[in-house]
Amino acid sequence: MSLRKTTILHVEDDRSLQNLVRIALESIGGYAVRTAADGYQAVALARESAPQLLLLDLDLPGMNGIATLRALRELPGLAAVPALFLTASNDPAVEAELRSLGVREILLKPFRPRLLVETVRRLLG
Amino acid sequence: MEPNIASRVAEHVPAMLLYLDRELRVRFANRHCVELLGRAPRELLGRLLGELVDPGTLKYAQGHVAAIESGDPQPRDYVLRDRHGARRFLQVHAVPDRDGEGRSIGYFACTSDKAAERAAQDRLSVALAASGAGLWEWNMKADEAFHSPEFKALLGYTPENFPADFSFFAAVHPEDEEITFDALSVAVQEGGRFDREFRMRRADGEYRWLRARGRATRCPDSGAVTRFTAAARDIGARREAEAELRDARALVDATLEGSMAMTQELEERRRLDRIKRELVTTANHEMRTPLAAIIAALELLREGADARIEQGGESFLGLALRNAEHLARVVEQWLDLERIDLGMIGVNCAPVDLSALVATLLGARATDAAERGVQIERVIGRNVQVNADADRLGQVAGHLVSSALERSPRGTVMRVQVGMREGNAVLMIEDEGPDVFTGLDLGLGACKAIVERLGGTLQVANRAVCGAAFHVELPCS
Repeated sequence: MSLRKTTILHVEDDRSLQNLVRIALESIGGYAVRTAADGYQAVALARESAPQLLLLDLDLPGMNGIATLRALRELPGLAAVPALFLTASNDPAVEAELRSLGVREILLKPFRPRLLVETVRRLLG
Repeated sequence: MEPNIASRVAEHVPAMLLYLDRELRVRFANRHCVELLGRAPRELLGRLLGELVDPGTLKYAQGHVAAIESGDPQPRDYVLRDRHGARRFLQVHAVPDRDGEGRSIGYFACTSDKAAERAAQDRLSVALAASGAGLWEWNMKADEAFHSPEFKALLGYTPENFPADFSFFAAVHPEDEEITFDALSVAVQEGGRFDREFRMRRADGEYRWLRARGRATRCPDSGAVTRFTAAARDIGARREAEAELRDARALVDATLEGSMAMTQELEERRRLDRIKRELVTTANHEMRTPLAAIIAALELLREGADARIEQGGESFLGLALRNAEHLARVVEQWLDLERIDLGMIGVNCAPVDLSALVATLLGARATDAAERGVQIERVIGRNVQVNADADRLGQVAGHLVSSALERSPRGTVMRVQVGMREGNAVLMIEDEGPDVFTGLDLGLGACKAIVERLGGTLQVANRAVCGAAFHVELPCS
């Protein structure tokens, strides 16, 4: 393991989930988490932190999760970064769209923190 | 005057001259009788009138004589048959021959040919027949009525079986009798026109719709109305067509109305379905998010992760509890929406003082606002009255104030206004919180449903600078 921790960019508007996901990924997974409350913040944070994994909520205020992912993919170095979605939607059409954007894992809320950490680990290979 | 001149005049005057005695025996007939009746004077002399004409004509003539005796000098029309059986139309002008004591001893009759006039009448008859009109004439002086064959046919009679005692008014439909009689009375008394539609009983007992147009004729000498003539037409087909048209129109109207109501209902249902789909998505999100937080917090607690969360120093249990409470509120709102949607929440509208309602509400939230460090700025117009359900309106205003408070960051201002705009009462709540996203949240969905039920509107918009504006408009009482 390198000295520098793997950085995960988490985009979520709910305060409680921001905290809980950060704690799970940091204390159980040992990752560094940068948290953005919406898509604009996410783009700004991604520019300075060059995350190795993108974790997004689907329902975001203003720019939704899909639009945010598209914006992030445009940034240098983020075109092929693995992406994971946390979503309240189990709409097959939404899932298909996410898959087409290279999203490899989708976790339906509510989710177990340990399962989240395991999924992140698998994605980071 | 020389006797032979008098006799020459009598012979050659272009009119048929007759002299009848009191027994109506022909005592003199001039040459013109040949031309008009096709009979030579010698065939007529000494014959009783009864031998020369049919019984009907004799009766008519006796009536004429009676009229003359009573001082009526009016000429009368006769139809006589010549010996070839052809009808001759004659006008007979007769005056009594009186003795020295004023007693009638005979009658001088001057008869003129009315063939030309009659031909015109025949043409009229043809025209009437062609138009389907029947002629009805009432001679008031003689109280006699004439009914043309067309008139008889209109009522389903032949000239032969037309009742001798036919009474016009007895045949008019009882429901139409009054207006017909009134109109006729006016026409007769004032010598005016008559134009009425009414039903008359036919020979078969069925009623027919007729339109009769007529006019009263005055006697040129006395000026009194003596005759009333009317042409009647069968308008049953037109009446039927009108009735059919009315029925068709009513049907079209009813169908249109029905389909419009159905369209409205469908649109309303589509609108509700759309809102419901939106709300299901929202509810899914709003319920799964706190549930995710509860499960994550409890699992992290079990895993023995750091029990204190940095930001705000809240414990996992505290966070779980807060989210569980939030979830409970979401479920409550969802049930509220269902109840509103199913019409289970009734609204009892009455005049409500919106100004007082909002002022009381803000008073109750003053402590909460102070703790959150949010300043409430109020611009509350006086005595803004709305027609609404006070409890429901309180629920809406309460929810809007609560969400604006929750959305407001510490140190910001929340603005509450109550006033009037274009005859409607307006409640406007503005905050400086984050932008609202386009979908409805459940609480707002319930508020919108309630406000719409109260006949008003609720709109949410992002403000130009920052924050959101909740805008409620309600009809005034």
